[in-house]
Amino acid sequence: MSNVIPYREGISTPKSSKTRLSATGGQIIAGLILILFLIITAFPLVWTLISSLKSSQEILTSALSLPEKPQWINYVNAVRVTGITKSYLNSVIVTALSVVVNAYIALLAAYVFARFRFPARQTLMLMFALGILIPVNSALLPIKLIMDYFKLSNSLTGLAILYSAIGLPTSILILSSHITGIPPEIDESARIDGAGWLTVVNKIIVPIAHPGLVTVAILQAIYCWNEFLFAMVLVSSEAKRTLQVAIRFFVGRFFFDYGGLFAAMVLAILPLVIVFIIFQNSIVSALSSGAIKF
Amino acid sequence: MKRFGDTRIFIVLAVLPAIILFTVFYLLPMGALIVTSLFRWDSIRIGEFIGLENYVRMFNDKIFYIALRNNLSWSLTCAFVHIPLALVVALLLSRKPRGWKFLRTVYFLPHVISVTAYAVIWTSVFNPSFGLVNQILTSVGLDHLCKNWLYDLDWAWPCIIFTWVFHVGLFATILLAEILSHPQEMYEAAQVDGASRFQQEVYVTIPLLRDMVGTCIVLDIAGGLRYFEGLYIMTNGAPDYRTETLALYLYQQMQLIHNSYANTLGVALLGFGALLILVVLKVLKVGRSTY
Repeated sequence: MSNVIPYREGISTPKSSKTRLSATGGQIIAGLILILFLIITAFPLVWTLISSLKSSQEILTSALSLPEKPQWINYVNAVRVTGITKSYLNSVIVTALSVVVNAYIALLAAYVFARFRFPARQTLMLMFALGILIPVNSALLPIKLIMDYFKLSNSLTGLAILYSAIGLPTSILILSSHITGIPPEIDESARIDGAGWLTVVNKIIVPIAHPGLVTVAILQAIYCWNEFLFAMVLVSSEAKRTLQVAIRFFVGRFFFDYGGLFAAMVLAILPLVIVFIIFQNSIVSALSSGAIKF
Repeated sequence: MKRFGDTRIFIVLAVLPAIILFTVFYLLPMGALIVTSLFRWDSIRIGEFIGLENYVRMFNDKIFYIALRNNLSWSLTCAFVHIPLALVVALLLSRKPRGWKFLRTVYFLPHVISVTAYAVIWTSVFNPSFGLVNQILTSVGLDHLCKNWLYDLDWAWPCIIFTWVFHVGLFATILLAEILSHPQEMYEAAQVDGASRFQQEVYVTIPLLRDMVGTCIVLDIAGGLRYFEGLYIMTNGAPDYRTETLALYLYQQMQLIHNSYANTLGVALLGFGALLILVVLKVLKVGRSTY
């Protein structure tokens, strides 16, 4: 398993390993570039966080200063004005459902692709790989009509099924590379003991391919949580809006309560940031496993 | 031991759900897209066959060309600015300076934050009255440069590009992992031969990265063609269609119930994407090993 990233140890130049303080010109430039990227990336986020604790008056007059007195009321207003809790719940339902459906369907397919040789295997794998590159929203209207036809529009389950389908190519690619790394002898010994194929997948592959499944789940969760276009086009009733669509609609509701708007943004952003920070190692290892390659 | 037939049934049943979902939500919509673009369809019911009329209309549509130009400019930015920046960051991080893991985490954050929330934040950053950009300009005495950034004819598109081009975390992480997996012996050999740090990067690391860089460019371009919500929330094509893209324009046409024209634009988006990706794969000669 590729959980550990092999580091380039032992190739650091003597200078950098012995005297850390005396930086060379190259190191200074390198440091500056990295800091510049840090500022550009972090500044709007820090600004949003700080602004969420300011009064609207402060935001208008001194956008760059720290709040004089933290206005926690902004968060109370944000929850009250947006009714954000309902859309939060909707997003959680869609995301959770879609992650489970997507991961299990992808697991079954990936297992078959990794373990068996059968006609059409190559074609099918190529088809799924190309799926990653297709801009799905080009078929916005046909997808809407298909969803209508199957009575999946305006339903959280429907949205979850659509997301599961859209995420399949990526999930299958990642999982099949994980499963290929598991020695087939393990499944075979279970087969000799009389286990059916489904039992092998559930009882043996799921625990061993666990890191891959976590990765797939996280990537799918990020996608579902953040998806906007289909959630907007397919869901018409306000009670079923997901968080992202709710954001789009509640922006106008704040009028001149900028502090409240920033607080709402922080609330919308925070859950995934926390999830990412907890699970970042498995995301990074997923991206390093070489699964994503053409 | 189970019979051989048992295995066959399992193979079919296990792949079936994935194939069904893929057929219903990828193949069928793409097929329908192409077929319906050949029909008149400006109301609920689909009309008569009109051949290539929609395509003639598209190639005479000024807004289509603006959208296409913007998509092209976005894709070129991916290939020549975004991924090279990610490569630079990955190379710098691969030397593992102090705090590199922290930097990698922060650089990655934009990919976890929803584009929708980001779009609202960027709208505020570029806001003419309390926005970050104008406040900074004012505080350093450059008041005359202040403008309504997202509604300025010349600045709107560059500002849109600015909102994502420095978010290199995802691709820097992918490239970094690839660099760290390179066998050390190569670097040791290069060092013995007297290659400097910089020469090692140029002559050893970068050539080894070619396939991965190609993959990143392809994924980046594909993601860019899909990008919709940010533009929809920040400018919705304004000012004067300067920030129109194919994904946005096809949504707007669909809202006007120009259904088959929206689908024609969808076909254009698919074709344009396929063309760009083929060019990248051809130029960088990647993917030959796999397929």
